[in-house]
Amino acid sequence: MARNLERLTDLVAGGVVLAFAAGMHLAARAEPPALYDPLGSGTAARYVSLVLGALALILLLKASLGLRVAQSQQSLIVGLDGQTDGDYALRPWLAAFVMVATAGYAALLTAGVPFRWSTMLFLFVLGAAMGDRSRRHAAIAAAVAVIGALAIDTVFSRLLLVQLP
Amino acid sequence: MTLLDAFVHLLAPTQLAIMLGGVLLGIAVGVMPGITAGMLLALTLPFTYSMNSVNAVILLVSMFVGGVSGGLVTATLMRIPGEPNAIMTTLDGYPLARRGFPGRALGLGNAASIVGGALSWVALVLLTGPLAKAAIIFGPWENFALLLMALALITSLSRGSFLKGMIAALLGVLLAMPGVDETSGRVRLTFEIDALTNGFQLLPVVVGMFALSQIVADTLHVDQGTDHVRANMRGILISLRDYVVHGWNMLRSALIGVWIGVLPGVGATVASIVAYSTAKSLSKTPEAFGTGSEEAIVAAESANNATTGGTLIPLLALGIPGGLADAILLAALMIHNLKPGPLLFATNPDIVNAIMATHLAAHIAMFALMTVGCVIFARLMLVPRAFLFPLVIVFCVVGAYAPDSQISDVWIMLIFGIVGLALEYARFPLAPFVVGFVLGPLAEAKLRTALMTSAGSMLPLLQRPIALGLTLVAVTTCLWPLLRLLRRR
Repeated sequence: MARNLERLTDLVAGGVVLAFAAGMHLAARAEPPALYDPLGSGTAARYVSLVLGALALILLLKASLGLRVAQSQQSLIVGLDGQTDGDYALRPWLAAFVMVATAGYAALLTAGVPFRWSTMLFLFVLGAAMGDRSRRHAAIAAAVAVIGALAIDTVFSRLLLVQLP
Repeated sequence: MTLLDAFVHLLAPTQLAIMLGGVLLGIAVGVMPGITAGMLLALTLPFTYSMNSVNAVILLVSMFVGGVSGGLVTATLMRIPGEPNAIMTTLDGYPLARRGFPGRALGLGNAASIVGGALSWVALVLLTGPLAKAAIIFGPWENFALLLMALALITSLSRGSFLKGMIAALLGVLLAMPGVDETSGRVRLTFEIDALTNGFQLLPVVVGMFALSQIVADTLHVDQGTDHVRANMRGILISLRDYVVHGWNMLRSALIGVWIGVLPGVGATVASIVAYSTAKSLSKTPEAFGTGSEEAIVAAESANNATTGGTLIPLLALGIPGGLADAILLAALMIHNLKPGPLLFATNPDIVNAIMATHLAAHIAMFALMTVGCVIFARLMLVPRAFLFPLVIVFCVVGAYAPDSQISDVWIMLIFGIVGLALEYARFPLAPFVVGFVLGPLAEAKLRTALMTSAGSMLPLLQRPIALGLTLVAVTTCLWPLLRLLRRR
């Protein structure tokens, strides 16, 4: 089962990388020739995308023929392997919700909602969602949202003079 | 500014505060499970814009050192590596703490950390200068070949799949290309999307891939309990006799750490595993490993701190980052219009000396702060993640937006957060991606400059001995898996 999932993942990954390499190759081919330097702005992208496409094809072939594809054993994002070291359940839907909520937060900022208010809303929604849904937790989440948003806004815009969205 | 001047400069109130603040923050994120030093460095980078370059490197190097060291606390008291490199410390630190010696476990780890860090500083000071001197004769061909070799090495040395490593590195190279082509000034590969006119900037990419995606991965484990051993100060300062007893182990593990740190893309986690295994195989009591062995804690902690000096050697001397933290340091230097590599010694010796001085001073500060404050740091493990994680995401958004004040960078961060998660899920190594993203444009620029000097001929790559040698290493590295396969058959 795990082997099949790994194979399917490799097939999808190979397909996506191949499509990306093809798109970049076509875009690079459309670049005009160089005026004064021998390579021009599109040549490197053309060759790199060709090699990338070839490697993606190898990955696709190996995965579709059922040959073993070695996997990276080095992890820079810890905890994504689905292993739990204790008696708690993983929360994949919550993880997906974090991405959705962050996209919503970015959308609010893009739409021009002031940083302070959108941050307050975001902190409250996510803080409440990550807890045990008790009233007490929601109240603490609200307090953290208000204090956190005001503090971040003040520290960045007034003290550090960083421009905020 | 000489190295001695740099040490004196660090004692000025502002610089001292920056260094102590950096070490404190580094230790704090090292202690908090789920928040990594790489994440902290990525998030801090945008805020170094307003600093002068010396202060910026002081802050980042201090955070780097603090972050590598802080994982010891969580590993020992909670059996959770606060940093991935503390994974081997959990095996013996936690059992020793459970047996009633948490202070002793932390003390041994802390002592080994400073010895490993100090020895790696010696290597940093002794090796970086000569290596840079040797590299100063490099022209564009040699520089191109060197970057090619670095990309090949980081791909092959990352543990696991060479094929996936190559794909990740080339993805990084290709994704760095859209935007303004620096050689011709043309806007290229933007697919007529206005937001891509400036290309994918390093900060949103790094923040998305390593900070946002890490928070999402951590959310999976948000309900994880915080069963822990209560910290106490008894035994936190180890005796001189302990240093003598564990001296050879500390030295050997530090040398392993420095060597592995120099190799691109391998990192502190592997260093601690190799040092742990070596110590176990040479130990008179190998059966004690995994049950609270002091030798094991010393080996793992000495090695992972020793990588901090090792990784800085190729970064400073050749401009090649060995991993994520170095890639961020490289980006910080580039933001401040500094180009790491042999010329940095001639053009900006103050930066080189500031980095070297901070590396040692931050280790000393880390030792003092961990000794005095480990009980307080241990409390940070209990910060509720439900409130911490959303705050970190807000920092990610501010960090991605702040440098160019572009809301599109927030979306780019979000997209690269998903890319990072997807690559990690599909078991592609991320270090080659970042290094490809950073080194790809540099390699292209060097190649184009080189070709302009040779009227478009690639022959100098084969005619110049150093360039040829470096290219051969790169090609052999790339073909090695194939050669090994043929030999096996």
